[in-house]
Amino acid sequence: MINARENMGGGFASWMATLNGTAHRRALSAFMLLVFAHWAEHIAQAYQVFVLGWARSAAGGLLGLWLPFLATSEVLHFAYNFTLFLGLACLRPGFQGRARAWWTVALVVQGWHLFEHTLLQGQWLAGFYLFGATQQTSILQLWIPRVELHFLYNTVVFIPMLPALFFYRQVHHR
Amino acid sequence: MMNQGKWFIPACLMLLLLSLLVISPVHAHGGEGQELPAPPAPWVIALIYVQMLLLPVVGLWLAREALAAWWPQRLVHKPEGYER
Repeated sequence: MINARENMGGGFASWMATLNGTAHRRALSAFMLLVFAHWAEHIAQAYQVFVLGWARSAAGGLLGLWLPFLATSEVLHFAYNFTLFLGLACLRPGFQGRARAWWTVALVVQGWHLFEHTLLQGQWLAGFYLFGATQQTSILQLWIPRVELHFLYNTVVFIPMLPALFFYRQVHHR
Repeated sequence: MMNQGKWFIPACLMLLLLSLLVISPVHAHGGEGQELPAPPAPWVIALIYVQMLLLPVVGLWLAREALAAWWPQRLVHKPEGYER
């Protein structure tokens, strides 16, 4: 039993060492493309609502127009944000210096964003809505509507990742 | 050495596909009805336009970074110290 645990721990440590060693740059670039695609979808959604004047329920970004559940599924939003947090945490040891500082900023903000999504997911599962709302509501949603709020969240998480990548690139220059 | 880690993109795509299959449209909630958006706050409009300008630049940069990380031999400008 102890050996099995040690093996699991050793396996994870070995996986993390590879992820933050030889595979770090590749993993980071794939992760950044995923985050970029999600960021682009939120920009598209905000453009549809505030520039094109679409109804919020009709504004599903680009993919959401063909697959509406991508924009409306609470589970999918939660799963993506959990993945984003996990990716930020797992890839963090591979950064040094200023790059790590910026990456940590993104991780902290994403921690709060994930907490908000956990609240939303919990309410959706329980069918009990906080703050007397008629649907699932997060804390900052008391002041900022959902589309604007999550557009802002994704901006605030994504922006620190760019200087982190810039400083990372300077260390791992080609 | 070059081929190490090439499992990552296919694995991510498979996981994404699996997630989409598992999370069915049954889980979709009703959204916020058919209400039209309220007049936007100026900061929202400013953020949208700034980010729309940044979008292609950042996208191309990230795409180049991904190309350099995964397939450096396909870059026109070879990484420093790179030898075929």
